[in-house]
Amino acid sequence: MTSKLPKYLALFSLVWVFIISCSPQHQQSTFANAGPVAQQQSNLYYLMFWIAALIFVLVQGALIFALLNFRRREKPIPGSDFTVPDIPPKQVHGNTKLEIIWTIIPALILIVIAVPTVQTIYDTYQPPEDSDPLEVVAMGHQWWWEFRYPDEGIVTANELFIPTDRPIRITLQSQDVIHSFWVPQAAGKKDTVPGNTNVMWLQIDEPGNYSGQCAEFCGVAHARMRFRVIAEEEADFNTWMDAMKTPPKMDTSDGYGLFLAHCSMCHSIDSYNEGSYEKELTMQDERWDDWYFNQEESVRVSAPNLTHLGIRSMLAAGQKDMTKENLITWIKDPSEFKQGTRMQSVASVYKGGPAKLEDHEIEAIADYLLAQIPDGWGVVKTGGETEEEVEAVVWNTPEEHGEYLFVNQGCAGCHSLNEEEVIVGPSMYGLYDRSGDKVPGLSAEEYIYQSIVYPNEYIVEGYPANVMPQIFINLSEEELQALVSYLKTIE
Amino acid sequence: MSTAIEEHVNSTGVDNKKLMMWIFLGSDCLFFGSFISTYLVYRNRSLAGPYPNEILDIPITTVSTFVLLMSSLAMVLAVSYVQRGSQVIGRYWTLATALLGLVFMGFQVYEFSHFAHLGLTPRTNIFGSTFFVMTGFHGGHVTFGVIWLVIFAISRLAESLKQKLLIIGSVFSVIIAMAGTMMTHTLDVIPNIPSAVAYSVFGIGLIGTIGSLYLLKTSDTQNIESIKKEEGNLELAGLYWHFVDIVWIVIFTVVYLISANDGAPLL
Amino acid sequence: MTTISYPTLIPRPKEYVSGVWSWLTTVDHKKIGTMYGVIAFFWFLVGGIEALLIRIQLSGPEGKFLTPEVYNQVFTMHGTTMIFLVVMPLSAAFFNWMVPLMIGARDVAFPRLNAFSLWAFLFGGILLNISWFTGEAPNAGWFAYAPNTEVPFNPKNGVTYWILGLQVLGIASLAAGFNFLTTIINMRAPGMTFMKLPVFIWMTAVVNVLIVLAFPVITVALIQLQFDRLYGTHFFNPVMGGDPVMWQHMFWLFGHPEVYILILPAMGIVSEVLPTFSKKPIFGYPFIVFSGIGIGFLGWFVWSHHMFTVGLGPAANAAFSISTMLIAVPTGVKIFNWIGTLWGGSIRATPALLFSIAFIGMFVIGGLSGVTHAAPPSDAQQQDTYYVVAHFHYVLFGGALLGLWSGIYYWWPKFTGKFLNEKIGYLHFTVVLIGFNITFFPMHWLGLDGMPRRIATYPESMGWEVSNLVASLGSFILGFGVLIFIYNVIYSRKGPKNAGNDPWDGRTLEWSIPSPPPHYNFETIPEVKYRDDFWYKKYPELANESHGGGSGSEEDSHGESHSEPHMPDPSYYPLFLGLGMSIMIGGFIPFTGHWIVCGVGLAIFIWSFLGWCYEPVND
Repeated sequence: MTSKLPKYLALFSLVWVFIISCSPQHQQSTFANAGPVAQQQSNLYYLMFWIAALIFVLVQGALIFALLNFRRREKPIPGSDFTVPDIPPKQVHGNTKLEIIWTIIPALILIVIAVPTVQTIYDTYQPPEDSDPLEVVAMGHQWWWEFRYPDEGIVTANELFIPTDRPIRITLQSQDVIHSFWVPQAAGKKDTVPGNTNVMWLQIDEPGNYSGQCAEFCGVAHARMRFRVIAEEEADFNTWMDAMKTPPKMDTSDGYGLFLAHCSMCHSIDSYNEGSYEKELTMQDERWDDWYFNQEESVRVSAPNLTHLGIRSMLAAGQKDMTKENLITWIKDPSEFKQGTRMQSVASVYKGGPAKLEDHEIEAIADYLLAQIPDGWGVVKTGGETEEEVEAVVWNTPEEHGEYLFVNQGCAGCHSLNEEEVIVGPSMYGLYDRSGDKVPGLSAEEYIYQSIVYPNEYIVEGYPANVMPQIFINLSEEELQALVSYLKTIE
Repeated sequence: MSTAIEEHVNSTGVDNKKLMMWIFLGSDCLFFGSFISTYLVYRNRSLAGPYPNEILDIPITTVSTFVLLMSSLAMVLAVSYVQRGSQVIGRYWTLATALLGLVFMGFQVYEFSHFAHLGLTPRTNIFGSTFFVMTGFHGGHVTFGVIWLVIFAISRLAESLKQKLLIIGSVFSVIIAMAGTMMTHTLDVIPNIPSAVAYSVFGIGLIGTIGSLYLLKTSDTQNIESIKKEEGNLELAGLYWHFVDIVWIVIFTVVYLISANDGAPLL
Repeated sequence: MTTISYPTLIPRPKEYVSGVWSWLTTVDHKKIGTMYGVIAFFWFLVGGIEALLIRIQLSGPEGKFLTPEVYNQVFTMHGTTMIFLVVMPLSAAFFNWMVPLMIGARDVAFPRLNAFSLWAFLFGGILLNISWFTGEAPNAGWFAYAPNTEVPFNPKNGVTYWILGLQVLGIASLAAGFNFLTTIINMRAPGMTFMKLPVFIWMTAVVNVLIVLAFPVITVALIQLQFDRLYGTHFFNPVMGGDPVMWQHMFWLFGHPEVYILILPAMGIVSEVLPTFSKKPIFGYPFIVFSGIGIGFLGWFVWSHHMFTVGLGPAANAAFSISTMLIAVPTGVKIFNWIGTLWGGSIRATPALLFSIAFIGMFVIGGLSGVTHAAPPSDAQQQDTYYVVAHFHYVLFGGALLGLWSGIYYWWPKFTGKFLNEKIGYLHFTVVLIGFNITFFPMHWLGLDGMPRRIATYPESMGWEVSNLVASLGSFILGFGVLIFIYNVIYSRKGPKNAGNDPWDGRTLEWSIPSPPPHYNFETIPEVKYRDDFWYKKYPELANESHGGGSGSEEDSHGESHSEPHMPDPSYYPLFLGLGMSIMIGGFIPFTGHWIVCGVGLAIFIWSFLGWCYEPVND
């Protein structure tokens, strides 16, 4: 009896567990297939599952039957104290015919499995030949996803917009370690291997929001490396695509300056511009190289593109809903949502701890980011303030104007005004005095002007190149002159 | 080992130690096989020079390969003479094996420092990584074999203290001679050594070698049977030595013959 | 002979009959086997606690019990510990105890080397676990995929501890592998031809062939990774043209045979337990043996099925898929033959037998789920999910560990002369089996429901809460089952030595000698005529109806007896050689002054190596 009991109990608990957990269709279920690739993969699984279930029943049945039926019988002889002695059973050594049968039958079953397996391998490898797949590049980063649309010149992060009913060919790459791109409802996973390029494809038939996750262990925040695939009807998708190429409403709030000062070295935010796609690719490589080769000294690392962040639904690689509250928490201390981020360990505004910013500064950045919405985008999805207060300020002198710009354009985030203090870039103290002889043929004014507009033309010794964003070229001539006049006054 | 184990009749008739040596060598095949496969997989993947075609010196390595091959021949003769109970000649060939192995190692030291001088280190590129680690571990095997043979010669094939010292002397003399040779030939590696000094060092080493080997010719009478008993142990060393030699032939083929013309990858 | 390098600093100890030194200096395979078992069981408890920590962390969403960093360390060490410090050495404990006894030998071929293996295993395990105390436990998984193990991504010393600990353990396994192969090939009792070897010995031989051939591959991969980490080479560094996939190839070229290294000993044990308790010879002996060899052989051609999602291309995936499915054939043959052995037998359901039956049952589940990820498209959904976790726990816990437990209940009377209590044994069996299934069965579902492996936590709303909670509860039931086993061992120690020589009516040579066996094992080296020779000595009338052994032995009678066998004396050197080697290898970890430690280790190593070589053989 004792030996039967555990079997039954075990069996019962298995059935119980199975029943309670099977019922709902969860967002990463491999059975809730949303497209042909996942469907074919499931079909193969179902085939094997039912064969396996049959074999399971037969083998376990035979095992339990043998155990119960061939128990040693020490039957007492009726009416006496003696028992029938334990006589060894017939000594069977084997049966060649049986052996051959139970070698061949499994082999045949395996052929039944192997043929559709090989077929499915090839079917799910490339999109159908007569289709017109959308090309997407997915790059795994520690610990977020970068999505590029090379044909459209768009870069975004953590949310992959795709059209329904159209195959998507995904090119998989990685800069750092191995990750794995997995949207269970759409297709099985494939790894992003640094130095190698992989290709997979998927297709989603119903519009919706599909959950994906990195499936290859990639370090400390592996569990937090999630993403979304947002499938939309062709028309909606095209709307999104056009919106991504439209600049947001002009914004000159404090948040802009703070963003430039503290975030813009790693986060691009202007990928609606012409030519920004190629620039972003180069910048991302440079940021990564800077971190990879300088490690501790580095202040940059590859980071998600934040263009039109206001229309995304999730933040921190699929961790939280994109609300102002969450965004503020995230900016204040990323480890609240995700421990071990490179943002927190690398960026000089964190250097391992919470952000060295005032609460109102953080809020300003959050406001600025949430306001990154393509001009004319219909629905404002978040609680971001919609009314902008535009101050009309009149400057008395260019110097005063320059001082305002120095703070609000973020210069002050990296350049201190005190002697000897280095935040990221060189101190501005006494700039004018030493500017005259930096570059032969350039006067002090010309040198300062050039360094603002084309920061990489001349790099001060001891500082890395490509750190200062090359975005101040967008300032008006008047603003630039104001900045230069202001910088001349710092002595 | 001990008696009860030794007395046990071997099921296969092969000595336990010899059997284990064969198993070990089988295992070592996979060890070097892994290094060699890594090298082959990583051929033509270096992203920076120097590349094999800029740096490999095939004539010199051919000489060192020849030296190692000759050491295998010496090994065969050593086992054969010890088998016949000839102490003096057996000892000479055993020592010859070790000294030729030592010379081979000298070539490797020269090659490594020469490559480093030309700018190829394990850190330079993937060719450097695979090349140095693979040949380095092979060199480690040769070194272990040399030490084994020398200790064997000292403890089992020599009787008097004088002979033991002569064996050690010959080893050091060869090292000194090689050091001298390197000073004369690669003055760019060890700069500022007057060639006169280098030649003298070489000469001292050479004289030491010849002298100690000459003095070793005198034999103490040793029981022929007791020498014959050492045959099994020497054969173990021999198996090892031949294996290491064969591995080098594979490495030589793969590195110096097959990939000698490998240059920058055609990306 | 007056040799100048005759280190007689420590003379060979003459005789330590009892006390600590009798264990530290022993070269007796039985004592070494016992120590392997005890140490491995200690690590089993450590690994089990790590498993419970994992389950506590995952019992609910957004677990805060462990930080992600510590979680990564815990799952890395759980895997590494269970594989290298538990299942392998527990198997080695059985190899040590049973190989000489079952083939009729007085000891293994190289008793001192055997002791060295033990000490290297012990110190290797300690080296690996020291990392906990320096706060830098390995955190890259037991598979240590590059480039996550390279310095830029893993600057702490954890991975270095892992590399060097594994090197020491690898050397221990290799030395044991050489030893056991030599023993099995060369030390069989007269008349015991290969086809008369007990199945456990056959499986031991296959396992040790795998060890001898697979470990050099991981040794090289670890050397390369170590050079990458410590000396700036570029083997797995994509920035300089290295290829992270190369690490995976080398790791799994070792790693897949390693899987069979873990499971085949248990299969061997089951093949001994089933015949004994059904009083029938093993069904289809040659098929069992050759399917074991077949599994070991095919195990070399399937490694890339761990890499179906790496992007090797459809042709490679198809080829490795088919080769993987092929392995199901010999595995099936084994299972059918085991059922055939039970069929028509006279079965006594002792705990040992129940564990063996449970082994088959659980292994079938693990095997069938294995087939579902032999198909790459289906595997694309399962790879790196909890489905795979469920699969290999069914194979390694439900398989290997239940099999080893079966062996413990089966041979305990031979080890100690006492029975393990049968009633407590049934309880132990029941609780473990139930706890095991409650823990791991829901993981199948979790995986198919999209839960990846190695995630430190998961958000709410994924629908994974219930199954995870059930699994966590199950793990504590399982832990309780292990406590019952410990209680059984303690309880049974107090019992009388009443097992006798042959408590189960056994079949193989070990049951013909006293329990526990004398240190020389066999007073007279037995002469073997049949497979299951001892059985037919007891029941000569059954020999006629058998065709299992052939008649008589071809090689006749040169194994005469020694009434007072002289066994090798104990030795200090294996201990010090293992210690010196481990210190030396540990000295490569780049802490301040590590070269001094390395040098000290080297000195001990050289001294004990020479001491070992020149230790007088005492005749």
